[in-house]
Amino acid sequence: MAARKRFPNYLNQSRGWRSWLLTTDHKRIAVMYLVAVLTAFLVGGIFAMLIRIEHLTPGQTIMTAEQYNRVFTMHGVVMVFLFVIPAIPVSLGNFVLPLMLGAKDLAFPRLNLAAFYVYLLGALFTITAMVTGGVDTGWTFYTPYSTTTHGSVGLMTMGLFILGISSVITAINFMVTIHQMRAPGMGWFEMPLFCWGIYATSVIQVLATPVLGITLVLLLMERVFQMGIFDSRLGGDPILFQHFFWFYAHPVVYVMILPGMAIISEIIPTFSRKTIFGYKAIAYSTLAIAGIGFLVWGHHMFVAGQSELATVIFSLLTFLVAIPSGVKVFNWLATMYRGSISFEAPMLYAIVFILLFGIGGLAGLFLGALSVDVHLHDTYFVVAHFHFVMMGGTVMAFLGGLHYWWPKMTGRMYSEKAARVACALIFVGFNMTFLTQFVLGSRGMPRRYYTYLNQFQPLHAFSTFGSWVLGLGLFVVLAYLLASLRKPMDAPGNPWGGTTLEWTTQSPPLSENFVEPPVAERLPYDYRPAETSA
Amino acid sequence: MSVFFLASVAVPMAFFLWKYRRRPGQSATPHITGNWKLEVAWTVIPLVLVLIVFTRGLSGYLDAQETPAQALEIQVTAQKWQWQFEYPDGTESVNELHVPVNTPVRLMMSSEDVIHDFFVPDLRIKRDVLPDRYSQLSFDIPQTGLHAVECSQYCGKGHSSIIAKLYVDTEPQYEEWLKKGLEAEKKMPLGKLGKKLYDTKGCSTCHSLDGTREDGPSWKGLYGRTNQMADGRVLKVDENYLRRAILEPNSMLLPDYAPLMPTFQGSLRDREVRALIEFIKAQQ
Amino acid sequence: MTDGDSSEAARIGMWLFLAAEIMLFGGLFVGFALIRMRHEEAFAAARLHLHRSLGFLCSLAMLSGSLSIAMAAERAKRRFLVATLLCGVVFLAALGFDYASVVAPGFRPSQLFFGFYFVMTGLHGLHVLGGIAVVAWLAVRGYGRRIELAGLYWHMLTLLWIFLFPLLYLAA
Repeated sequence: MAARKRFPNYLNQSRGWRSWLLTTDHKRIAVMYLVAVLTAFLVGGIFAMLIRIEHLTPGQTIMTAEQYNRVFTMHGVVMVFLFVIPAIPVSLGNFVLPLMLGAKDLAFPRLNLAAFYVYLLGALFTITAMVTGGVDTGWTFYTPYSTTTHGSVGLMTMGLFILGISSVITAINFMVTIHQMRAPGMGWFEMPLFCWGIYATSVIQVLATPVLGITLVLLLMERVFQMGIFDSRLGGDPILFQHFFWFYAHPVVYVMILPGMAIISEIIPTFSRKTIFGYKAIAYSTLAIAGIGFLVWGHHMFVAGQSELATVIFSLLTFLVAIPSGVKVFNWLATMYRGSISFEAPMLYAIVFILLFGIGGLAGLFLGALSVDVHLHDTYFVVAHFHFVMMGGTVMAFLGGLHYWWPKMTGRMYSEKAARVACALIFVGFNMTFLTQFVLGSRGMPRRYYTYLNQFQPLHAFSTFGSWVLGLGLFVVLAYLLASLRKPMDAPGNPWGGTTLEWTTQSPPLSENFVEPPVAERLPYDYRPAETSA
Repeated sequence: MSVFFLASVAVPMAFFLWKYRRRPGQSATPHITGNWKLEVAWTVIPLVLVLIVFTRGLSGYLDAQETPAQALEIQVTAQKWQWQFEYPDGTESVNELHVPVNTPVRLMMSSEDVIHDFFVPDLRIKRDVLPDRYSQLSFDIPQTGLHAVECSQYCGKGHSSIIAKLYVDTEPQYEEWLKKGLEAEKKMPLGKLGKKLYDTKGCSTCHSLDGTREDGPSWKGLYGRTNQMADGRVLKVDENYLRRAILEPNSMLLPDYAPLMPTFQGSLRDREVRALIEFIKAQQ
Repeated sequence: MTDGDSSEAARIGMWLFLAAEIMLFGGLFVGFALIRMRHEEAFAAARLHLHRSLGFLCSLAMLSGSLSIAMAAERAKRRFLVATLLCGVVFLAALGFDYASVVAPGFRPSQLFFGFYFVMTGLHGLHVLGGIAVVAWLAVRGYGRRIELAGLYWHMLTLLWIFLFPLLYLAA
């Protein structure tokens, strides 16, 4: 092996713990965020394992009903609020966005650091709530259960409010960066599609998160002062809580998936060595998903007792929101057509994404159909649906992006062989765990159930075995990624042949990103030889 | 049909991945940026398909919403953690619902506490049950049989154990069951009735019989004791104490117990209250 | 980035922040409207316990504050900032008096109308407090373009109050 090259890069250009904790370099902040969200994923994952072990047998396996109720709530809260919502934007987005735009940093670097600490504060409140009695309301906090149950609901509510503030700050930062800091020559329709995804995600975050904020405030008022807004005995309405909650929580699922789709839009052209098919269609469909996503919240409440007219309108709109997602998938396939495709780990994850998100999305269509939803609402069918889109979708895209940009972020290549083994384990384990749950749900197994009728046991056991395979796969990923850090920093600047600006820098980049501010001369995803590009 | 959609994505993808895999020495690709006709096609065609699915779902749903004018109305009360049913003739049952076959039935449901959900997977029927409001569920079952009723809106510790049984009976079976229900209760001695109520009215969730402290005080040795109340009064636990504790629990709070007990005013007939008192007296 | 760019960036950032704030209060307005539809009479009766004169004073304070902060942006004289500060303090004082007069006879957040009243005015008041802090800081540290941004923030609060006041204080 050649002697280690020690060249200046953002990791070593300044030293000491203060240079990290007080940094305003978006890349260092991204790395700190990465550690935080991966920790959250681990914690949420442990809760998931506990849930599945409990479900090996009906009746008590390793915990009581009250403990189970707290464990599934915690799994949901940690995964949704501490991992899936922030992960891609704050780690990969933070790192890559300025580089892709040819900028030195985000528009508001100090605000970026502030948002990180606010995230940590919110996480602290949430963890404190977990250890001081826990919360057993489910991540959806439906009233009147959440206003009357014991546990640290108040602390949890405050933690989530704080996390929301962090999200909004980061979203504003991203939006302003995209508006103002694109390199000369890079118009809106000349920036990478990843930026479109981040932009649309940020729009949703800015507009929807405050609604969660106010819902949490009202929930707290109800719990502490018995204000009555959600209590029918005092003149309020528990369904109002559901409307408030889902007005935020539905758009937020698009916050969870749009960054993932944005990553896929980067990976596929690179690994097909072909320009993206339908750039504008993909950009517009991103905006369409964000927009229509605000109009479908009532599909979580088909059996809750809202008016029939509302139910019908929500169902119709829910079907409409599927169309732009389909448009994206078709454009990705068309990109692969007559491409020159290689199968490194990022591409494997992209393929897995298309399959699993496709299944999850189609299941969502079923749920949108009124008569079908009546049977499937609040069963394991719904659980399978959202795990397919959130894990089979977002997490797979996150892993794909992590592998894609790993050499850029760390200067090292991971072991491709180990990566393929892990990807296979994850794919198999995931399907074992969650395809089974579609069956469980359609046979009538409700969700959030501690015990179950004996007839469901074989399926539950199979799902649990699947979760062990899945967990193993994820641990293998962690292992080889960490192992790669011990290798010398010898990754090339552009290991995959990407065409976007981040690949024109060294790996890892300098603190200031570019030696000279770049000018965008080529369109992204342009694989034609240099002399023929416009 | 979802298999069709999935296949329309997975099959071309598999084919492209195989056919266009990178071969050594060949990595130039055609620069195809898009095709508006294709975009329109794969927007409009899926749109039409999903609208078809929507309409079918809608019509099934609207059919299910129609309630016939003449329906047998049964009152359903959900609480943590049991189902109570009351029939037109006044019979009551807990966790056991009987309906006659081939008869339009309408359930008028409401909850005593948090939101629950009445769900019969076998029959594909489901509706949330809300506090302080009635929600309705109508059905007409063409075959006799026994089905499970599950709660499908998370409601706490007992969410997965409030399973009720739905018996779809023939007309004569239904009539007989109604008769038995009332009479059985009328003939049962108080103590035995009290034990039945202890098991079926939810008392056992919070009150043990063996001295263990749970959410509520144990009934062992309760009768005859002297209690200091949360508001300072000192009271002997006699029949009147127990009656008030059952019907107005918030006026009988104990100092080191949380005010969790719901009132049974209206859900226990007078004879049932006496039966419970008898039962408690027997727990020495 | 030139200085012009960075102030443009700050402006866009502020507008986005204001959009988020409008969504925050928007939820409250919607909730209030919905609950009021069910309890018209009870709300109308409860409303009589608020002091309209104090509410008017609050409105006046916010509007004057908007005016003075706009003048501060135009004329760049510190006295306008101080005037804005005073308006903010007057607003909070008037609100405080109204709170005291409501709490004294026993109205608590545990009654629906007053729950909304305290949450809506309280949240608004907290934001005014933040505004006062920012204006004070600008008055002390000197300012430039940033006063325009603070002005935008203040105008949003004034606008919100213009909606809050009739909703809570004036009869339908």
